[in-house]
Amino acid sequence: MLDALLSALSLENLLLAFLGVVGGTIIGALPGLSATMAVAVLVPFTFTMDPSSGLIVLGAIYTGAIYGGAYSAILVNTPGTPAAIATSMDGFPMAKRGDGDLAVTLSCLGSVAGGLVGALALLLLAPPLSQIALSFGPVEYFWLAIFGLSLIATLSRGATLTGLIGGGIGLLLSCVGSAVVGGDVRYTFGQTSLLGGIPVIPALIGLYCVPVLIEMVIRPEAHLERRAEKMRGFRLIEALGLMWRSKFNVIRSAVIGTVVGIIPAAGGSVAGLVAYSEARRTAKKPEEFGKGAHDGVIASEASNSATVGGGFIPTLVLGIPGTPPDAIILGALLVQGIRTGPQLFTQQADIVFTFTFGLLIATLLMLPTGLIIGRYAYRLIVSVPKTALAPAIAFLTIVGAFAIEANTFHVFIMVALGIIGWLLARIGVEASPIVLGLILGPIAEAGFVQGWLIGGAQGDRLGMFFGQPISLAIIALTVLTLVSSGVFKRKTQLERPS
Amino acid sequence: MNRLIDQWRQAVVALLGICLGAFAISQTSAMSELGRVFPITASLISIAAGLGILAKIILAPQAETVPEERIDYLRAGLFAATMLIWALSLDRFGFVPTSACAVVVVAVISRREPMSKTSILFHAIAGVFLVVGFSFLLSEVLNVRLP
Repeated sequence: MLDALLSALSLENLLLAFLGVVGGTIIGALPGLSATMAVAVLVPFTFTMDPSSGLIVLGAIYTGAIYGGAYSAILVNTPGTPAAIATSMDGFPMAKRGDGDLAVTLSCLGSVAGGLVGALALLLLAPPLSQIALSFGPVEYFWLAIFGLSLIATLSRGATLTGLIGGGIGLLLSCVGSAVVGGDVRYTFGQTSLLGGIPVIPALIGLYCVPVLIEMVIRPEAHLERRAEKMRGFRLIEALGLMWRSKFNVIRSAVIGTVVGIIPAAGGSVAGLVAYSEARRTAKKPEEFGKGAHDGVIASEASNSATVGGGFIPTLVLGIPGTPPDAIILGALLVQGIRTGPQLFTQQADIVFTFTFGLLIATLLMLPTGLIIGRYAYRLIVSVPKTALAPAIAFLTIVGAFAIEANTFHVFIMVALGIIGWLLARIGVEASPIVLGLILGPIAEAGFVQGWLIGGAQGDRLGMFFGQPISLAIIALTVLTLVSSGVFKRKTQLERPS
Repeated sequence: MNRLIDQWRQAVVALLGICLGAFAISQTSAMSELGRVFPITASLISIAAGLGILAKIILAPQAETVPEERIDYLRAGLFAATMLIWALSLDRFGFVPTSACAVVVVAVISRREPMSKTSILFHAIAGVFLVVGFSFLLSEVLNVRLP
C-alpha cells in the first residue's frame, strides 16, 4: 500500500490529477456537458498512459465534473450535471439573496468531504459493500424511485396538490417514446424523433434554465443581488463553521452518496435528491429548505461527490458500473488490459491502490481548485450586465442541448419545454416536481413492471413487493418522509397568524 | 383582487391536470396491458390532484394572497420567439450564422434602454467571438458535428 501511495504522489500523477480536476470542473460547469461526456471525451488521451496514471486522470475528471455542475446550479439555476439538481434548489435562492459566494464555497467543502468519504469507502470497504449492491433487484429500484418521488411532497412548500400535478406531468413526459419494458410506442404522435423519449439533459436545461432566462429578460433588476461587503473573499471561515454545525448532515449525506453510488445505474442525481430529502426531514428548520438553506447545498454536494468513490466499488470489484461515467472508465480499463473482478485486488493491487490514492489526492486538490474557480465564476456572473449575460447563457443552453447527440431536435425540445416550464411556473407549477417525475419515472416503471412479472411467475406478487427487507426499509423511509412533511406543514399552518 | 388572481391560477392548474390526465388516458387504448399501467397511474395522479384543487377552491376558499405582478409579456414573447426560431433555423442556416445573429437579438431584447449603434456593434463582435470560440471547441476538441 505504501508503494501505491508513493506512486500516486509522484509529480507526474499529481500534475495529471490537477489537470483532470480543472478540466472536469470546467466541463461540468457548462450546462449540458455532463460528467459522462467529460470522461468520454477525454478517455482516448489516457490510452497512451500507464494504467494507474490513466485511471487517476479519469477519476480526477469525473470528480471535478460532478463538482463543477454546482456552479451553474447555484449561479444560473441550471444544474451543470444531473447530479446537481438538488443543489439548485437551495443554491440558487442563496445566490439570489447575495450569498452565492458562500453557496459556492459550501458546495466545494461539501464535495470534498463527500468525495473523501466515497474514496475511503473504496479503499476500505470495496468487497463487502459490493455484495450489498448485488441484492438490489427491480423491486428495490422501484421503491427507491418512489422514495425519490416522495420528495415532491417536500418540495411543494404548502401546495402538495399542485406539486403532484407537476410530478404527473413529469411522469407522463417520461412515458413518451418506446416503453422501457415491452417496447410499446407511447405519446409520439407519429414523430420518429420522439421514439427515444424526451431527452433528459435538454429537458433539464430547458425546464431549469429557460425560465430563469425569460425572468432575467423581463425584469429590470439585476440577475443576482450583489452585496459589496460579502465580496471580499471565499467566506471560508463562515463556510467551515456552517460545515462543522452540520457535520452529521455531511456524514449522513456522504454515506447515502456512497451507498447509492454502489447501486448500479442509480447515480449522483438520485443520491443528491435522497440526501436532500433526508437533510430536510431531520433539519431543525425544515421550512428554510427551498429558500436558501445551507444544509440543502451541503447535503446535495456531499452525496453526489461521494457517488464517485462508491460507484467505483462495483465497477472494480464486480465489473458492474455504478454510474454512466463508470461504464466508460470500465471500457478504458478493458482497453488497458485490466480485468475487473475480485482478483483485481490481489493480482493487480498496485494499480487499484494507486488509483484509489490518486482519487483521494484529486478530491483534496478540488479544494483549492474549486474555491478559486468558484470565486471567479461568482464574481463574473454578478458583474456581467444582463445584455451580455442573457445571450451568453442562452447560447450555452443551445450548445448544451445540441452537443450531447448533435441533434437539433433536442434543441427544439429544450426551448419548447423551457417556455412551457416558464408558463407553468407563472401559474404555480414549479420545475422540480416535473424533473423528478421525468428522471425517476423510467426507473420506477422498469422496476414495477419487472417486479410484477417476476412476482407473477413466482405466484407471490405481494411478497415480491413487500417481502424483502431492503424494500421494507425503503418503504419505511418513504412513509417517514411523507409523515414528517405532513406534520411540518400542519405545524406551519397552525403557527401561521390568521 | 389578489385572492381572485390566486384562485384563478389554481383553477387553471386544476383544469390542466384534469385535461392532461384525461387526454393521456384516452391515448392508452392501443397500448399493451403492461405498457399502459404507468401512464394511467400518472394520469390518475394528475386528475386526482386537479379534482382536489377544485374541491379546495369550492369548499374551502382560503387561498394565500400573492402579489400582483406586472409582466413584460412583449419582451417575454420576443425572447421565446427568438429562442424557437434559433432552434428551428440551426439546420437550415448553420450553427455559426444563426447563433451569432440570435446572440445579438437576445442582447437587444434584454436591454431596457435603446441601444446605440456602437453598443450593438460591440455586442455583435463579442457574440461572434463567443459563437466561433465555442464552435471551435465543439467541432475540433469535442468532435461534435455542427449543422
